[in-house]
Amino acid sequence: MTSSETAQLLDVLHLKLIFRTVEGTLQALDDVELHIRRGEILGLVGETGSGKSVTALSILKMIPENGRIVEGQVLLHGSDLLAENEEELRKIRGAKVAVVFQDPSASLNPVFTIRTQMRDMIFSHQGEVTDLEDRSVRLLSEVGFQNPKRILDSYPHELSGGMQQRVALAMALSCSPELLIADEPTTALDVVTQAQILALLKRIRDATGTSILLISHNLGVVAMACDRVAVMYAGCIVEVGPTEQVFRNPAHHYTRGLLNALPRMAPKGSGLPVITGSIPSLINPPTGCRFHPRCPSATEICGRERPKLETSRPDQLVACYHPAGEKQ
Amino acid sequence: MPTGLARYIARRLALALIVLLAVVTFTFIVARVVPSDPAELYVGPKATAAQRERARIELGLDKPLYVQYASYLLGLVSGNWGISLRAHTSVLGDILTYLPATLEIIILANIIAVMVGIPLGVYSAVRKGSLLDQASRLTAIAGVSIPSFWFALLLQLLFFGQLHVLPLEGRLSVDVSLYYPVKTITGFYVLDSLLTLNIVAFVDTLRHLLLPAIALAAYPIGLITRMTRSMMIEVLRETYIRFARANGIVERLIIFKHALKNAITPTLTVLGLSFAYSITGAVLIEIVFGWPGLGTYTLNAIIEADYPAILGVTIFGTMFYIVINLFLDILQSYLDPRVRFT
Amino acid sequence: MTIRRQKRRSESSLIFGLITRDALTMCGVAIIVFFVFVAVFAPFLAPYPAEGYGVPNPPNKFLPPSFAHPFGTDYLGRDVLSRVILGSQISLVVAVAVIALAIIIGTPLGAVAGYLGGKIDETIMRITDVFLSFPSLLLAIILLATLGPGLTNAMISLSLTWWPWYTRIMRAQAVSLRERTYVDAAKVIGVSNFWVLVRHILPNALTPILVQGTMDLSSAILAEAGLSFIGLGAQAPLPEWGLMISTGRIYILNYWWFPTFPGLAIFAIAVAFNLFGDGLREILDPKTRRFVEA
Repeated sequence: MTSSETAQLLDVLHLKLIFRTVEGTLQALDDVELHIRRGEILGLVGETGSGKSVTALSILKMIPENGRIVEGQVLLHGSDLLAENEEELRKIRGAKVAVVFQDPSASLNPVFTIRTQMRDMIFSHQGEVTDLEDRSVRLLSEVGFQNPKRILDSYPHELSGGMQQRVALAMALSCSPELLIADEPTTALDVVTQAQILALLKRIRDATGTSILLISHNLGVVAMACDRVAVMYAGCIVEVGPTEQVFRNPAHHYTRGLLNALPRMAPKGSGLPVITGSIPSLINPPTGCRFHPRCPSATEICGRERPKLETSRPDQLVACYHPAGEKQ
Repeated sequence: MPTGLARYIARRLALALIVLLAVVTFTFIVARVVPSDPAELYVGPKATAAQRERARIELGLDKPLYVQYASYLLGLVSGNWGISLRAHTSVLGDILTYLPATLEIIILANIIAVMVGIPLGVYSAVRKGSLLDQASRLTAIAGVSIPSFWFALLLQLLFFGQLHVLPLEGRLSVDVSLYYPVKTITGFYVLDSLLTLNIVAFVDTLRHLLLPAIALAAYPIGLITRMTRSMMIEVLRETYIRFARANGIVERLIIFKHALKNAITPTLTVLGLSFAYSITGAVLIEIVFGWPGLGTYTLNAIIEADYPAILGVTIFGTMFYIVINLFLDILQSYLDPRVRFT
Repeated sequence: MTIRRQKRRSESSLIFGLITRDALTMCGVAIIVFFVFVAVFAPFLAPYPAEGYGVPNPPNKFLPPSFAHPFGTDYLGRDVLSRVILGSQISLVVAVAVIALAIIIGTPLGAVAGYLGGKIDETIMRITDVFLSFPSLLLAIILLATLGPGLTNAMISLSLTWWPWYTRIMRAQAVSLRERTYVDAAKVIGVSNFWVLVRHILPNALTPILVQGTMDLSSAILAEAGLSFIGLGAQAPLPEWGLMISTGRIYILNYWWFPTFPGLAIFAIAVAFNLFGDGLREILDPKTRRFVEA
C-alpha cells in the first residue's frame, strides 16, 4: 500500500470501472488510487483515452449508462461518496465537489442569462438567499470581470471563450466547494487565455484554499499550475509526485517517454523520439503492468503481476518493478 | 424589449405581407379558372338573359381581368370581400359569423393537445425505455395515423350510442337553445354563456364541444408528444445539462426549466403545423358533428361553386395560418435568443 | 486516443440488423407487406369481387358481421370485406403516386435552387413559401374545386400541395453538399454542373428524402381519404375507404360495421407507414450510430 496518507481531502481507493460496449467489456479503470490534499493543485495527466476524465466523473458518480463501478471507494473526509443515494450526492455536487468541463461554450445554457444560471446554482444548494445579486457580482469580480453587472445580463453566446470559462468557474465556485475538478479547462482556449485561466485557478486556490484537480493532456499546462502531478496510462495511475520532481526525474518509463517526446530545440534531422507501439485495447488489456509491451525495461514479472504504487523517491510514488534511476 | 427582437418582428412581418399578397393573387387566378358562370349562379337558373347580363355588370365580370384583380385587392383591404353568389350576403360577414364556432373547436383541441402532449413527451423522455415511454410512443403514432373523421364517428358511437353521456351533434341541445338561448355577443358560445351567467347553456356548450375537440386533438397530440420527446432526449444529452447536474442543480429545475426551455422551441414549430392541420381538419370534423362552422360553410360553397365564398374562405384560412406562424416565430425568438440573429 | 470505428459492414446489412432489433418497426414492415400482398391479389382474395367493385345486392342490406360476411354488408347489400380488400388497391396506388409525383417535381427544383444559389434560389424559395403558406388540404380543396372532383384530380391536387416540402429538403442538402471537396474536385476536372448534380449531389441527398417520403405515405393516405370523405376525391361506386366511411356515416349508430372497418384499414396502414418511417429515421440518423472508443 502507499505511505500513510492521513487528513486527506479526497481519497480514491481501488477504483475499478468497466463499460459494456458492443464489442465487449472495456476495462476503463483498474485499481485507480488518488489522494488529493487540502489546498493543493493536483494535476492528472495522460493521453486521450487514458481514463482521466472518467476518473473525474467517477468521483462525482456521474458515469454514463453503460458504465459500472465494479469496486472501489471515493472517500470525502473519510465517508464514501459512492455509497450515497442520489439526493445526498446532488447536495455534495457543487457544494463540496464542483466541476468545470472542457468546452465552456457548451457548458452554459444558451437560453438563460448568466444571472438566471447563477441563481439556479445558488438556489439548489442554499435556497432563496437575500443577497443574491451582491453575491453574483462578487463571484464574477473574483474571477476577474471588470463589469460584472453587464455579464450577468448577458447570454452565453454573447461572451468570448475565455469569458465563458470564467463564468463557468464562478458558477462552480458559487457555493464554496472544497474541491474543484477542472477537466481540460484550457484545451478549448487560445494560449494567451490559457495562461490567464491557469493564473486564475492559482489565485482562487490561494484565496480560498480550495483544492483543484486539474486534468490535462498538456504537460506544459500541468507544469505551469500544479503542485503535484499524477500520471495515468491505460486506466491506471503509474506515477505520482511533486510536479517539478516528476518532470525532472521521472521514475516510470511511460513518464520518461512522454517527457522525451516533447519537441525540443534540437539539431536538424534528429527526428522526434517516440514511444514505440500504441495504446493497448482496453477490452483485452495486457496482463500485469499495462505498459509492459512497450517498455524498454520490462521483464518477466512485469507481464505477470500488476505493480502497485510504491515510494521510489522521497514523496514520489511509482507503479513499476524497475523504476528508472535518478538523473544526475 | 430584448435586443434584436423588434427588428426580427419587423422583418418577419414584412415577409408575411409579401407572402400573403402572393397567396391572394394565386387564389384569385385559380378561382378565375372556375368553369361555371358566376353570373348564372347569382341570379339562379330561372332568370332571364337580361337579368343575367345585369348581374354580370353588377358583379364586375365585364371588366378586364386586371381591373377585377385590382378592385378585389382594394375590396379585401377595405373589408369588402365580395358577395356570396348563393346567399347574396357579404362574404366577410358570413365568414365572421361562422368563425367563432370553428375557433372554439380548434382552440379547445390545441389546448388539450398541449396539456396532454408536452407532459407526456417530457415524462417519456426522462423515463426513456420504460413502459410509459413505449405507451406514449404508441399513442403518438396512433394520433398521427388515425383518420380524424373516423375517430369522430367512433367517439360518437361510444359516448353517445353506447354510454349515452355526451351529445351526438350540434353546438347546443334543442331544449337548451329553446329555453336557455345564448345571447350572441362574441359568437363564442362558451364566452357568451359565461358573460350572461347562463350556466345551463355554458355546461351544455362544453358538453357539445368535447367530442369534436377530442377528435381534432388526436393528430396534434401525436405531433407534440413525438416532438417534445425527441427534443428532450436530445437536450438532456447536452453538455450544459451535464454541467448543471454535475454541479448539483436540483433535478426538477434541470428537467422543467433548463432542458424544457431548450426543447420547447422546435415544439412551437410543430404547433404551427398543428394549427394548419386544425383548419382543414375542422372541415372534416364539422361534417360529422353537424357543426355550423366555417368548415360547413366552405363545403357548401364548394358544392355550389360559390367562388367569392371559396376565395374568401381560402384567403381567410391562409391569413389565419400566416398570422399563427408569425406569432409562433416571434414567440420562438423571444424564448431562444440565438434565433434573432439568423 | 485511437477511435476504432465499428467495422463498416455494408449499409444494407446494418440497416437490416437494426430494423429487426426494434419490434415496433418490424410490426410496421409486416403490416405493410401484408397490405401490399392484399392489394396485389385483391381480386382473388375478395370473396364477392363483383360486389366489391360496386354491384349492389339489395336483399343483403345491412347484414351484421358473420361467417359469410366477416365485415357485414353495406346499405346496398355489398360485402364490406370485399370492398375493403379492393379498396387497398386504390389507397396504396394513390398514396405512392402522389408522393412519387411530389418527389419528382420537388427534388430537381430543390437541387437546382440549392446548388446554383442566387436569384434562382430566391425565386424558387419564394414560390415554395407561397405554397407552404396554404394549410395543406385547403390548397387541395381549392384546386379540386377548379378541376372538378375525381380520384385522378385528387391525386394531382395532392401532389401539387406536397412538392414544396421535397424542394426544401433537397435544397438544404444541396447547399450543404456543394461545399464539399469532392464537388470542387469534380468541377476542377471540368464536369458540367448538370453532371455534378446528378452524380455527386443527388445520391448523397437521397436519405432524408427517402425518410420523409416514407412518412408522407401515411399522410397521403389520410389526405386522400379525407378528400374522398368530403366528396371531392373518389366517386361512387369506387370501393375507396374514405368514400365508404362517408356514405356509412349516417348509419354509424345502427349499423356500425360498415363505416368502421374501412376506417380500421386506413388506420392500420397509416400506423404501419409511420412505424416504418420512424424506424428508418432512427437508423439512418448519423447521431444514433455508435462508435467504440478504445
